[in-house]
Amino acid sequence: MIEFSHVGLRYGGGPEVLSDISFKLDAGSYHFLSGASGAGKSSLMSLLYCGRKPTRGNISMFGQGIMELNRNQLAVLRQKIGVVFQDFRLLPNLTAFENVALPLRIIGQPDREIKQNVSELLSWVGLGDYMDMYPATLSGGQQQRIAIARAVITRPRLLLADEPTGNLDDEIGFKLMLLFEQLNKMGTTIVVATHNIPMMEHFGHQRLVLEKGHLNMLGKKAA
Amino acid sequence: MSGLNASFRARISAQRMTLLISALMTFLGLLCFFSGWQLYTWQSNVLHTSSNMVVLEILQQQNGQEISSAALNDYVTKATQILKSHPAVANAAPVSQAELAEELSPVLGAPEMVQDTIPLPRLLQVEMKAMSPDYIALVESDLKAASIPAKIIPSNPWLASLKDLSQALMFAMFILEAMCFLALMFAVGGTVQSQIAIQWDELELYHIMGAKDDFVIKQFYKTILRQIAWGCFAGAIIAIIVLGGLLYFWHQRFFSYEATITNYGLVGGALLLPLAFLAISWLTTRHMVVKNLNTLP
Ligand SMILES: Nc1ncnc2c1ncn2[C@@H]1O[C@H](COP(=O)(O)OP(=O)(O)OP(=O)(O)O)[C@@H](O)[C@H]1O
Ligand SMILES: [Mg+2]
Repeated sequence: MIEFSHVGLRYGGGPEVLSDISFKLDAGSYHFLSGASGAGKSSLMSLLYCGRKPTRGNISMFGQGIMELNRNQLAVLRQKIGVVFQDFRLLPNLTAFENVALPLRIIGQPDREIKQNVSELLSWVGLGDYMDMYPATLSGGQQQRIAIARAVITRPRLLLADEPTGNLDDEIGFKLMLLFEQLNKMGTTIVVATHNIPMMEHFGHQRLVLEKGHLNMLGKKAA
Repeated sequence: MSGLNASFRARISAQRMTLLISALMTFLGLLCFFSGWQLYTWQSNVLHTSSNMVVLEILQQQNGQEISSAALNDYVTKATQILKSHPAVANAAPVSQAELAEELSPVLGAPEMVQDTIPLPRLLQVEMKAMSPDYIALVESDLKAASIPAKIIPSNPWLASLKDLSQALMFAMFILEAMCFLALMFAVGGTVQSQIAIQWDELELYHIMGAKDDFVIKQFYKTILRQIAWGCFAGAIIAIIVLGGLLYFWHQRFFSYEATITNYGLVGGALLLPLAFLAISWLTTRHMVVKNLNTLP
């Protein structure tokens, strides 16, 4: 479903942050992405959600080469991807409810459905009482749950999560990981970037390891 | 869409200035348009020379001597008689001094004062049967034979200089009008650009979430462009009130009230102008947003 071939990325005139990355992710698969800080996990994520174009190589998503798509087609492709950013990127002027509703508004869901879907999901992540609060008045863990809720609200085909449990205590972190498991069972392809070794061991999904801009799958060179 | 807009609106309050600028520019634009139009109307009334019309001026001096006012009046009467029965002339009529003073009053001042203080030329409106140099020469020689000191001015240089003046003013109005357009365009462009800079993270987020460019542009339409629309509307209303007042209280002096409000070109133009200001703002907004979004992949 996702295929990178000989992908390289550099920022401006700097050195290649990612070099010659080739791999394939099957539909419905679940991968952890690990690597030291600064190894390029977030950069690889940004390529996966088409937030950047690679400086070399080809990327194909959902069977389409992204270089061949026009702007509107790329937008439609992005709508199938949910992202939990490492720094959340919640909008400070919107309530928790409106932050989570944002992707639904972008795809044009009617207000009535938005109200129901968002309330349900926020209650599920334990923020039913915080819907009308602004991000600045919420704790780091609560903000992170809003970020996760926003990423999954559209039931994306591909879910990308960059350190999604970094600020959460074990119990709620575990609960959210179970949500990811559920979404994965329903067919969502998932990539989770994390440093959390116990969690990776507990769930036991295949690991992609970034090292100095190169990608290894389970310690082996990626296909 | 209400929730999403809240984010835009919360950050936009600092940009109220666009409302003021669009109101001001629309107001000035309408003022220029109206002035230009009145100049044009006045000019075509004063210089209402059909293609066969010439002006005959009775010279104020004969053989280096001033001609008395009574003698001048005599010449006007005599010349009118000759011309009316002249084979090359279709019609001839003296231009009354009062009428002349009235028509020139916007430039020279109150008609009563003009008539008494400024020596106005003695003119005859002459409609030729055909506009040929032979006919004109014939008329001139026949008047000379009757020893009337006169010359034919196909287009009166005295009025022509007025025409030049009013044309220069009309050109100035046009330039001012264009300046209003440009000022609004740059103000809108600057506002949109700074708004984009303030909200860049947010726009980038929309983009990553799969918002199409049109979706983002629409947010700007709903906020900034809506303000501009209110500005144009308010500016137009104020201009109409001011110009309406001007027309109503000054119409005896300068304009014909009835002729102005029933002039479809003028009224239509006054209605279209705010729309043109809005259209230029719309295009500018769109251009700025698209230009910035294109920097995203
Ligand atoms: N926007 C950017 N402009 C320039 N350089 C960048 C940018 N983003 C990341 N980098 C560089 O790319 C490299 C990889 O960064 P990246 O954020 O992908 O690492 P990471 O694996 O996510 O690290 P962490 O675990 O700390 O989140 C770093 O050296 C960083 O300096
Ligand atoms: Mg990172």
